[in-house]
Amino acid sequence: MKMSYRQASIIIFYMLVAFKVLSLPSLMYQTCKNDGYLAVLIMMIVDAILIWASIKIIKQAKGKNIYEFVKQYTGSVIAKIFVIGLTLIPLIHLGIKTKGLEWFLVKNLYTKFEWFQFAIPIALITCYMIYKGTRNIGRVCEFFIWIIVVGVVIIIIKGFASVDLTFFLPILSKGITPIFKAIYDYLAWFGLGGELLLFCGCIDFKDEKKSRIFFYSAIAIILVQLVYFSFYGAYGIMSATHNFAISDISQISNANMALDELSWLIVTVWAVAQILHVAIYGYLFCRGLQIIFNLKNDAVATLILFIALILWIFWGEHTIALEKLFLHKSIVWTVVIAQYIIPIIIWFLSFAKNKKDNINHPSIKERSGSETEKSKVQQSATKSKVQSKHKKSRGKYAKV
Amino acid sequence: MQKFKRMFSPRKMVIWVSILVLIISFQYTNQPAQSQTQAIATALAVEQVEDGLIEVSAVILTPIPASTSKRKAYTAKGVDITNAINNISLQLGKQIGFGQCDIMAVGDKLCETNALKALDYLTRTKRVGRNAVLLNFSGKTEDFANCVVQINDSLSLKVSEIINFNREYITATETNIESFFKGYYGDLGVSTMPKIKISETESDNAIPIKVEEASSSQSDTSGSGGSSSGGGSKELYFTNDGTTSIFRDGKKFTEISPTDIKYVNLLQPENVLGTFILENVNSDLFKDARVVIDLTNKEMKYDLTFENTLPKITYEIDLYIMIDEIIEGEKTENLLHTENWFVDNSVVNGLTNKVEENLDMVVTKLKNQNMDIIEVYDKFYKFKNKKFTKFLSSLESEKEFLKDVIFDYKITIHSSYYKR
Repeated sequence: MKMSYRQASIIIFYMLVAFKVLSLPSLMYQTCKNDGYLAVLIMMIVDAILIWASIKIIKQAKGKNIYEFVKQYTGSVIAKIFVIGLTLIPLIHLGIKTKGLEWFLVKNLYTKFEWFQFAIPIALITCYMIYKGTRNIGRVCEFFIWIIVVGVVIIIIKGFASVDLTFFLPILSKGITPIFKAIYDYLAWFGLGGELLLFCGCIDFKDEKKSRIFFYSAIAIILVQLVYFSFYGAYGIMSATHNFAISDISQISNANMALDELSWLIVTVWAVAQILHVAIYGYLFCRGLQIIFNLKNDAVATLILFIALILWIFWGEHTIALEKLFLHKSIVWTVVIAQYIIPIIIWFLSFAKNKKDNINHPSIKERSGSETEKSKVQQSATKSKVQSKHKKSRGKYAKV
Repeated sequence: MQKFKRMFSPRKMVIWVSILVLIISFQYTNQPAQSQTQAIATALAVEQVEDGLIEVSAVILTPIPASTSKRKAYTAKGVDITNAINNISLQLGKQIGFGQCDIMAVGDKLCETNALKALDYLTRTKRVGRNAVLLNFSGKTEDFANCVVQINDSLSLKVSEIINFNREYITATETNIESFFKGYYGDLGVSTMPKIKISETESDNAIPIKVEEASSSQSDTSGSGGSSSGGGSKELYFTNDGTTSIFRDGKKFTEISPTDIKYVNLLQPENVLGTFILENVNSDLFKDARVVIDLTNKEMKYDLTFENTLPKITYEIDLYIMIDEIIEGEKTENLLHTENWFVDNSVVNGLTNKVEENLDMVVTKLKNQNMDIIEVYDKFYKFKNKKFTKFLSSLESEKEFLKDVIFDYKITIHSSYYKR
């Protein structure tokens, strides 16, 4: 079952927000000091533009998956290479996200627990959600979105009391270079254009409202910026040493009261957001696998994901300097190619093809226009029929 | 495949997850209660003692409902902090958790050698919260811990509240571990800590505290057992007079007296209360009088300029005062709310001169010791970045920039309690 356009917008919101407010603020501060928020703002705007372009492509695909859509422009071999490239993104993200989840749950919240005690149930739950399809993930995301937004806003507001605006000064004291360095170093945390293309054929555009995607993207950008504002404003130079921004904001206290914390809110709200995020990327990975290997059964792809997650959980836990792996240049370049270059190529291909079609067949638009008018007439006719039926039935029930 | 699907139908999934949760949680039902294996430290004092050993005293919260005192101080020595803490654990028979520790005290000797390393270790490895009140103390760790137990057990007083009062009215800066680190990681590496004196001899403004000598015990460095020291009780004096310890690069290098810190804080934006005493004041109403003035409010603004490439900071300080007492020979006048009548030019000029002289004196001290505890560097760096960076590049050492900064003060005295 396809997910609705609203659900897709909410999923994009999760993807935009979830992992940008945990360890990234601290990493950004290490590279470009108090201008870290600017680097994030620039990249989130780039992300929003790529999301818009990807949604256009998904709409244009009209129910086809990304392989079928690209194949018509490039042939099957290049299309498959593109899909493999796109599938690598959720795989890399899954690695980062599960590691982030481990840090958040085991190293920050519940230090007495072992990672596998969280990881195995999380892997089971996410795989089950994935197995049940996009609409289920979409519904869960829909259910939790406002709870998460309100929870995060409360935490941010608490942080406002401790914000010192002078911590943001001077702006760009070392010029723009550190910002670009930070963007390049932490590119794996950004980019949504590529992996979104794997949703081709999974979104139902019936309830489309053009402003919706912008609305959720804008909320995501504002929310993330507010977290950075609260975090950098409260901790200043110490931001570099606080690895769990959203959690540490909840523990800010000027009155030296160790118990004046909102950690409970983080525990209840943020863990859910992260698990949903892992589920979304898990789904995209499975979808990529299905397309690459032409798997007709959802269970096989889910099983592969489950095995991969379990292997990662046990191998990744004991691997030293794992975080460094994601800052490795080969990973960064894979991300650049898969997340930015492939979607841009696909977008240009479809754009060029459309233009060519329009030049070769100028009447297509007119025809399609007349077709839509026809279909509109048909739709209104069926609507009136249905309405009259309803009236009749209402009449019957009224009599009863 | 149908069988597989049926096995993982939503209803079956609930059963599978329940079984999994049971399996995971079952192992914990077999373990002893955490209160039997864990002890909670609410305050910690660390000091370097003879032979380079480290002495740690921890105030431990004992969860015994019938106990008269829920807190008890334990002391142990060790070759390093870990060893000393492990020795306390041996005395208690429990692991110590430091997450609830809200007072962190570092002794004088350790402050002079390695305070930063100790704090870094305790916050990172032992997870002492960075919001914990941080202070420097002189005396024995054991005495400090016993004082904390006695003060915190009294109904109306808490050590953290005493230090928070300092923050509010005396030192005008945050006094927790986080703010210490902030200073250390700053460009100049200067940070502060309030100083507490624990002694067995009586002194001014000291709180007398009776402590049970047998309430603490010590263990040797190997950690083999503990021996109770003495018996009966002794009287200790807990003094918080506003003395502030100054640190550079994580090591203590000087102290500022309460009188000096009072004037330093006139240059801080936070409101600081206090009293000024003017001697030999002559006016139409009194002759050769001693006038006690209460500072009820303060407003401070600063202006940053450059004079021949040298940075100049001009402070505009508005002091709101109230006359408390006029002592004229044998005659003492206690004033309540009629003080406005007595405040004339002699008082205003006298106070202005006194504040200016003292500010000059304190700022010269700060300049001589390169102690930028009034954040002049930060102000210029943030608001006049380009010119200031140019000025810094012309210096041999950035850390000695304060010597070249020009200070100017504009002091206005207001005699009303209320802001105008």
